[in-house]
Amino acid sequence: MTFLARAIVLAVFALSAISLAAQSQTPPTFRTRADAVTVNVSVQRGNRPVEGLNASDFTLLDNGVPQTVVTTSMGEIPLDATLVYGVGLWSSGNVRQFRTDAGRMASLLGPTDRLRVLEYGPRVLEVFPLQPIRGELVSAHLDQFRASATSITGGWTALYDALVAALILPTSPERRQLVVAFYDGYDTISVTSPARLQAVAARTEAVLHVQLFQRTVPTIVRGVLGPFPFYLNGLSDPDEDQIVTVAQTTGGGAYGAGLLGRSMVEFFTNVLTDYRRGYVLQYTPSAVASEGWHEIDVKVTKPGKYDVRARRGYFVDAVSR
Amino acid sequence: VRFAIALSSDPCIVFVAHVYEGLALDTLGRSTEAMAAYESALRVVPGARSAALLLAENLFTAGRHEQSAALLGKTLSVPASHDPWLELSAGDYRFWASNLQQLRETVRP
Repeated sequence: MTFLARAIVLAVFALSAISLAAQSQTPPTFRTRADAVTVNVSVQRGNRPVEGLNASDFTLLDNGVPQTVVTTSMGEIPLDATLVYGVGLWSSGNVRQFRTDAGRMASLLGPTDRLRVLEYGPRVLEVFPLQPIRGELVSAHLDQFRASATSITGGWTALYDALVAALILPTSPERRQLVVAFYDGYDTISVTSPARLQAVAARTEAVLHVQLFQRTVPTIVRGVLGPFPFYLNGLSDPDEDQIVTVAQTTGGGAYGAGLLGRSMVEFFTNVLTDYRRGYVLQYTPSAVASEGWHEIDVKVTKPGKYDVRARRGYFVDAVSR
Repeated sequence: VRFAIALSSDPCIVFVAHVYEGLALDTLGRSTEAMAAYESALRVVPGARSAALLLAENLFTAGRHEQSAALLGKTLSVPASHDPWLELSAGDYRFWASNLQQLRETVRP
């Protein structure tokens, strides 16, 4: 079969798939496979979300090759949100604040949305699994969990493990996934590593946003003392750049305190607002090799200066074809 | 680590040796063998989150997303169990409770 013939067959297949999806009564799925790629896109202009865009307003390059996309507004799709918070180096005040704020964050979710909460100290614990939950019940869940938790802390934190878990844990393919983590700047005992976290980020469907709180030890002090000897994983100095890269790979971001909200609630509100006003682009890759890393470049074609945030690419493993 | 696995009768040491074996194999890009090492660690200490997380992460990056999510979901759905990875830095402190009990029994009139 010639290249042209193959391209025509692929195009017919893609159009048939899109047509069938439109006609079907079953919910659409939003999981990337080798033959169907999904990209969450956030578009801002002057720090304000840009709404009302359609497929013709975007260009999407997959490994440099333009693709034909269809769009869906993110707000139309039920959301699975995961909150990740730490108890290791945090002051008890921050943990108490999270207990209060988590309920307020849950109350911002819609009736069809679901919430899960993960806690990390030296190990990752699931406070409660994905479920539709009312805000006022979240504090009760947290209280009950803390009362029964036997976790030792000892100042140890496994942030990388918690983020790997949050990006892997099961969700439904017809829902979008949002992970919001609160991070005070040190990982001391993760069994995984930033490189492993990055490998997971390149393959996940979830969008990760991280609020970076001020470090507890000033940089100059760490420079004098050097790495703490009790660190097991060799990650003596937290590398915020790694966290920023990981978050951006998923189409999210990592922000210092105050940049996207001073409090946890304000941060979550801004993330959620931006997320809901975003778009889901879907396409069937054409004229690109299937396996391996695919770099994605999304732009808005309308005149003006736009800040477009989308995941940087996706990975197709041989087994997922 | 294979020497430790072969000779030690201490489950904590054998577990950690399997985990380090897996990490080394991972670094060499030998993911299938690394996953076998993590599975061996989980046979020594079932439910240990460190080995389960490493196995889940390997399954995920190998494209076996459903298996990965199922393993991790199952691991996190039960209360946290004993995990030698966390006891590594404490050295012999992990024997504190049993040694104390033994001492009490020894000095008891």
